[in-house]
Amino acid sequence: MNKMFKNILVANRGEIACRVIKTARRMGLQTHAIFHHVDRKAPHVEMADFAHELEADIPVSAYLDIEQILAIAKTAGIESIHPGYGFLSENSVFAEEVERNNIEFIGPNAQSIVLLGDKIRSRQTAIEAGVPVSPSIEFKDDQNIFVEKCQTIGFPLLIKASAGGGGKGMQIVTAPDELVEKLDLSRREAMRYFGDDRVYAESYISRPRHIEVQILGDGKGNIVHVYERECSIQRRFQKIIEESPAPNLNEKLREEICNSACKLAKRLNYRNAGTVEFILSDKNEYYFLEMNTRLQVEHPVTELVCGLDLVEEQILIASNRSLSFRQKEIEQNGHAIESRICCEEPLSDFAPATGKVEKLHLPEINDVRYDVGFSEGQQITSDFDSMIGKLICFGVDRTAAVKKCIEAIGEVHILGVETNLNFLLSIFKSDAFQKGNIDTGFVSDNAELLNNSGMPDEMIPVAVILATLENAEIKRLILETSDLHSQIGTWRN
Amino acid sequence: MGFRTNFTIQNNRYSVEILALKPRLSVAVNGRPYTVNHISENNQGSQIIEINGLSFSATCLDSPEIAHVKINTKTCLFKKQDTRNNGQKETQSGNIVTASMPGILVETYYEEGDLVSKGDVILATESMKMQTNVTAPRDGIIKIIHFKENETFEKGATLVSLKEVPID
Repeated sequence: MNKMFKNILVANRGEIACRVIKTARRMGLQTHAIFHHVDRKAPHVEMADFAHELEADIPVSAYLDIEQILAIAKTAGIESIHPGYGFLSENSVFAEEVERNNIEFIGPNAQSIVLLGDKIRSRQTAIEAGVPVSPSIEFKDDQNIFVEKCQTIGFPLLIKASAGGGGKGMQIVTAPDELVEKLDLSRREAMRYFGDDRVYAESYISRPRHIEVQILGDGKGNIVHVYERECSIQRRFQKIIEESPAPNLNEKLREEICNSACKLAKRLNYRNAGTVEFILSDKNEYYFLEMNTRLQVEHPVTELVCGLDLVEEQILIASNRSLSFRQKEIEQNGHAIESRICCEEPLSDFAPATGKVEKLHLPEINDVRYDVGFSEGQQITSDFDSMIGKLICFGVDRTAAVKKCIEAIGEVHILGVETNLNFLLSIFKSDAFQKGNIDTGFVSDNAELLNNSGMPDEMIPVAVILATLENAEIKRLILETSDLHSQIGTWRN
Repeated sequence: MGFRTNFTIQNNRYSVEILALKPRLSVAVNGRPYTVNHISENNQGSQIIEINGLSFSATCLDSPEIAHVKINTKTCLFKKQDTRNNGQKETQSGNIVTASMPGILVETYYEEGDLVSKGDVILATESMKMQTNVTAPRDGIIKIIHFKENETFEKGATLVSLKEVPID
């Protein structure tokens, strides 16, 4: 048996830092948080046993400062570092530096991060592992050869940056005559964003579903999958609702996709939690998209249906333990749905919203889990991502889980800053979502759900009256009018 | 009573006026009166309010810039704005007034060539079942009223053009 770490430093903030601290504390580890001045009152700072301030002019750069984080870790005698998601979680230099300082990086080795972070290399590895990859052509110096080869995969096609992500450097080419122009554009953009102009073309699958598989590997040859997640409900290329199991996915296909994911992880002798992402066409063809070498935002849905704590597994794996269960011991039970709570204005093209969370009420409801990283009184600024927390609901089946989402969103109050809760509620109440026929075109195909997500017109005057009566001056006026006071009864001053 | 305030949501402006405190609390929203009968509060900060005989469960927040209300299951955030600005966009010169949302022209209060002062109500429009007044963004002479009564317009349409008052 290997010795468990004495302590852990969580190199992150927000809900995921809180999430990791909770499990680490339950496992008996002393917890350390890092923070920038703007986050000094944030929940992750309050929760941790120790919190270390980072100096940086720009708040986000504090959480990206490898040198400072390592200096803190060394001074504090840190034995393990969990990177969360985003920030340094898929930075191979950070992983390497952490290990070089004899601190355990709770993640894969740097080699895996480098390989899987490169789209051309990761696709090559997937092909070698026997995982379906959509037909593609790599650009290699000669434009004419590239153009010629592209004809073989047909149009429309997609040009993507090898080092890419988040749609950067991506171009849709609908006809051959656009190819050269789009190739140039893509290469220039790839160079600008990633300092690497390698690109490739692949066939474009319109309106796919996004299905991903949770993997756990111990680096000792043991790999299991923890089933799939459906993540097709997206806005601005970002997921907003994820669930497990994926609805309307036949058993055979589910098994095939999950096994494909295992094959890739086995080929790499992968260590840590990881996620293999696939796209699934309307003809039920699936293709490898990429593999993420970290904990995903949407990991809780997997935890709820499979009864595992993925952070605990990550920590156990990092402490050099073997997986304590086999594939056949992992079962999917019931249905879980996650909603990402974002501070944004859905009706203004999802523009990020800022403000102060003046009132927050997260009612305790059976089978509802909140993973949040903010508290009442907190200022939501544009310094960080607009996703401030997650609402995860469980049910015996999908219908029950959707019902739970509707109940919970109805009772959650976040006042002081605009959120996407109205929009989420509209989605959950819609026939389209309830039927489970979803793909990545859902939000644009069901535009009326967004457009009608606000408060119904006939309720607006009621809202206006309530807002007026909340005004301190009005309250005083009413309370001073004695007979009305008694009529109105117990009203807060 | 005289207490008035304005809220804007999705570029729609709502004016509120307290009409009476006795014998019943009466509040007008865009000129339409509502009777508020009973308010109580539970220990979680939610209120039960009865308006025109209908009862609602609500949580409210009032701050200097915004009001944020959750009624039953839906949330609504109002921006508090300068009462002069009707939610319509003004061009830099303030010579045209455009529609912030599609609607119908209900009533015209002035004719082309009339002199108006900043804040004067030129038109009444109706969008999403709510009537909104279109006011003059500055002093001027009405050059063109681009729609007739009962005509519909699209979002962004120019409703009124103004011209400078000639200096003698």
